[in-house]
Amino acid sequence: MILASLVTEPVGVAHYLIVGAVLFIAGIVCMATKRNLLGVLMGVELVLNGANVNFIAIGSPYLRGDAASVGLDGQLMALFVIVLAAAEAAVALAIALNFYNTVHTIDVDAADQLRG
Amino acid sequence: MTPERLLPTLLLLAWLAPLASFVVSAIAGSLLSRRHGGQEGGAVDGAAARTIGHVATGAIGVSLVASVLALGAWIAAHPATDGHAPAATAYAGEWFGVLDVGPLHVGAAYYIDALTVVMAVVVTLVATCVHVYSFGYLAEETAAEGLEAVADDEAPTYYGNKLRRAGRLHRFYQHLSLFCFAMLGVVLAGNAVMTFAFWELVGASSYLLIGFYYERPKAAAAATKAMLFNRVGDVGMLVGLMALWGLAGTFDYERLFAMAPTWMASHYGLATLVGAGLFCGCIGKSAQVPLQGWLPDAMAGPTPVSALVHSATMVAAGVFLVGRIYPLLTVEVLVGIASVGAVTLLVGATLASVSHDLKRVLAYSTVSQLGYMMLSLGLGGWTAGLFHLVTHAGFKALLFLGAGSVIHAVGTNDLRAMGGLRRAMPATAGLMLVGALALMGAGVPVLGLGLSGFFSKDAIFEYAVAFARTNPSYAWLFWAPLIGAVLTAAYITRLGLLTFVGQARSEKAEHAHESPESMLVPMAVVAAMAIGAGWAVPGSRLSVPSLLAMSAPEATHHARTGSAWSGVTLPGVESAHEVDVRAAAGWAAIGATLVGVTSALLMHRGGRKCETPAGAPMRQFDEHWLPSVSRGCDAVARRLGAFVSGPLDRGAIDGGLAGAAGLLKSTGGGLRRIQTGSLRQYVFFLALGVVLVSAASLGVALRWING
Amino acid sequence: MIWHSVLFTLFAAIACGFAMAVVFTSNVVRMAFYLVISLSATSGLFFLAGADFVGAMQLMIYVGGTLVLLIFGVMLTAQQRFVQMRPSRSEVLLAGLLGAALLVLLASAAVGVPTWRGSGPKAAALDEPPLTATPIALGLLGFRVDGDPDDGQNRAGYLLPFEIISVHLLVVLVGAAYLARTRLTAGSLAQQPPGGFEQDAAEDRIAEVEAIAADSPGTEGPPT
Repeated sequence: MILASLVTEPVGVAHYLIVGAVLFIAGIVCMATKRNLLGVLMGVELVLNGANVNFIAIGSPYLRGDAASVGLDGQLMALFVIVLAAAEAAVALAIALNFYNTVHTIDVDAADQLRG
Repeated sequence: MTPERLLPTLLLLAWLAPLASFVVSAIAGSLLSRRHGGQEGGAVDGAAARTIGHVATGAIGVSLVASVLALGAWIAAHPATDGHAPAATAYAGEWFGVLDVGPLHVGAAYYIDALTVVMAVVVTLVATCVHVYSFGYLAEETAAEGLEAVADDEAPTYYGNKLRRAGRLHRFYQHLSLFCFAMLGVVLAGNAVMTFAFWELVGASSYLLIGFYYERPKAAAAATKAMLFNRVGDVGMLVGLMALWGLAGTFDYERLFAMAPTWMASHYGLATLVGAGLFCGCIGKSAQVPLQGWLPDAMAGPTPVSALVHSATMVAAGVFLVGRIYPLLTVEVLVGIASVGAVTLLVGATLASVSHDLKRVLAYSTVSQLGYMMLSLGLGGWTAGLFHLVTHAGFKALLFLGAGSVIHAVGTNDLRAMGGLRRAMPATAGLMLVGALALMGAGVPVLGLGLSGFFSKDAIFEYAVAFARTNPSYAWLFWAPLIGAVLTAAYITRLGLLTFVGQARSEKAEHAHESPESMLVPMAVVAAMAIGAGWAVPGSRLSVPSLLAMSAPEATHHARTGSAWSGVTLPGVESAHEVDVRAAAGWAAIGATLVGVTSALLMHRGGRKCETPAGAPMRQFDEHWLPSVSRGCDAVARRLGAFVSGPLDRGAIDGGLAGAAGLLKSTGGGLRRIQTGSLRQYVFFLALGVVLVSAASLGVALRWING
Repeated sequence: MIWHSVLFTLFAAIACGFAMAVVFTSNVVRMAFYLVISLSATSGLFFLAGADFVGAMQLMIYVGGTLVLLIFGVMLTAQQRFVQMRPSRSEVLLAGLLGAALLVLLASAAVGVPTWRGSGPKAAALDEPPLTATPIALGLLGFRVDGDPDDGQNRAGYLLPFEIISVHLLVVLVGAAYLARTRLTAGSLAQQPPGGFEQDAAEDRIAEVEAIAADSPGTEGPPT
């Protein structure tokens, strides 16, 4: 029933937001459960991507009336997020390599020197 | 210039000149002593020290001139009246602000009325005389180290020989300048905070001056004692100030006096607390019972200091303050003040009659006279009490300067080692006679002729008589000053007899010589004040009491009845000035004086017998029992302090703090476990926080969006 | 049957499904692969929302750049056999609960706003080809051409953020290179075999060539 309505009803912002939420939560859970540092990084990418979906949906003139549209602001924000994600990935990867060189493993649970 | 601009300007000049002198002498003194290679307090050569003294004298001279000009300006602005005119408005204002904290505004403010102007003249006049006199009295203090060094035989040294030290005249003048600045600050102060600050500064400079011979254990102990006794009183004063702030929310005298009748009506109890607290400070400063003990000991300082600080001006600051805050005092407080004054004058006069120490006699005399002033103020005799303050400043300064002259000549304070000095020191003897006559209030009642003390003491007796008539149950407040007057005449006659009459009783007394002119001239000046301070200017009604009466508080103009518990009625000006009251007061005073003089002449057989009847036990009382009372209080205070610092401070407060700290530490130790260092747990907590916060806010946000 | 909705459902399912797959697998290489698919499907969603330029950038930067970086990371750090690093069951359970709670919250927020419910793409808007590259480029240069210039809503350009992000990116790349560089220490040099790698390799090559030459028939070899 719901699946049927998905292909017969027009798509709205809410649909996009739910997709963004799923991506975001997948990223969060990924960050919280992966012990591999690269897995954590992939979780971060997913979180940023979920945010991007929201930006695009809110800024889309297709999904909202022109009056409510925020124009190109959403898309520009999404572009900035993509660039930031690229930068973040580069730095995080450098950190990951250093981490690996230091402790000879990629398990984040090994990095607990700050334990109180 | 209008008087409201001219008077503050002149008095500001009078106030700041001693400060300038103090700063200059402090800087110059330390620079000079450093140049001599000595440590702090090292030698300053005699010429430089004299120069510093000249600077200080010049500064106080400037103050004197400015004060006299201010007095002239005041008189010009307020034509003489017969004393019944409505009160002249005071000039109140501020030179500059210092502090603004919330509603509290503190500044260098002034409150200038006749009392201020007269006090400023008295203080600067006596101070100038003392500055000049000290050149002669402390001449040896210009000595350098080495062979001519000052030999101090009262200061113990390790080898038991005489202490030899460099002179420190420059320090004396430096402290004297500081004192003058502080005293004028008290006189001019326009708000209670300024009064309190300079009140303490006066105490500090008094400490420095009493301890001028700090090598002598007696002087050092006396300085400490004076400080401590004053602290006891000042605690009460602080309580009074706090109550005042709580009551009025301002410290400004002008506003306080304006609103005083309002809160007298609404908060009578608190107003009584204010008055009682502030009077506690006056008890300490003016050496009233039970805090009288420091003043006789303070005579360990140089005699010019005793003349200026411990008889004429500083100890009168308590009386002055009572006069200043008079509108804030309730009838109950005033009766308390009168009772304290009556007890004090009796105690002081009794102990003055028995002491063998010349300066101690005069010190107790001061205590007794201050008691008279307090009594008069307490009985509603505002003008009379402050008038007596002025005349007392003159004749007591004269007596002290004369005593200094005698001590300078004889080299001891002991009355038993004197006698017959009138032949060697005729000028001093004559001047001292003037002072003694003024102190006992010699005069002819019918003609209205007499020395200054005659007028002021008469005025006090008028209020005592009027008060005793309205309140028969408080008649002892009349008998006490009467007995006090007998004793006063007796002890001052004894002093004169033992010092100047009879035969010399020691070798030093035989070889005594007259003091230099630099000491005699200032004495002559204050002698003129002692003689004429009570007289009206010829051809007009202008006199010190008429001047003071211009600024008498509204409350003294009519009878007042206490409403709290005493039911006492204070007589107004009119009832004290009734003809029969004046006559009774005059005859009582002169009669008591004659009785006192006669009995003293008989008892001491014209100066051949030193001992007073019951003298030995009384001296025992003075020198052992009274200090042991102080020591007992000290022991109690120490116990209390030990309790406060032990169980209370260390146990309860420190323990409480340590417990709180321990609690925090253990809580922190527990919280430390949350800090796992695990990245994934941090992410988890982060997400948990997001869930909680958004869950809390989402409902509100959706309701707002959906209208 | 709206084709737009059908395509959306398809791409959304792929994106969400493979995002879940990233969570559930514990093999890093597979995680990276699933992530590529999820991000590509997301770019499809961008196209469907009319954001063609952003979609293209998503494919190019994310899929083409960032993920390549990640895969490099995987290869550089996975020198021994891939170790399966599994979290404890309680952690997984807690994270799952938390994720479910967050999903409920976000979904209810998404559905709770009436204007966000699907009115569908405007037919007119669908007719116009989405041409966002030029407006975005002009926006980054500080000029806004989208929206009605007369409606008073003059929107700000993005020249300054664009500059900031450019410099930021440069700094980040320099920093990353600095962080990740191999540190030459005394120990690392000592581990080299005597003579160095280069020489050994060259000798091997020469020996190899000689062996080939010896085996080969022909007379071009040096006279023996």
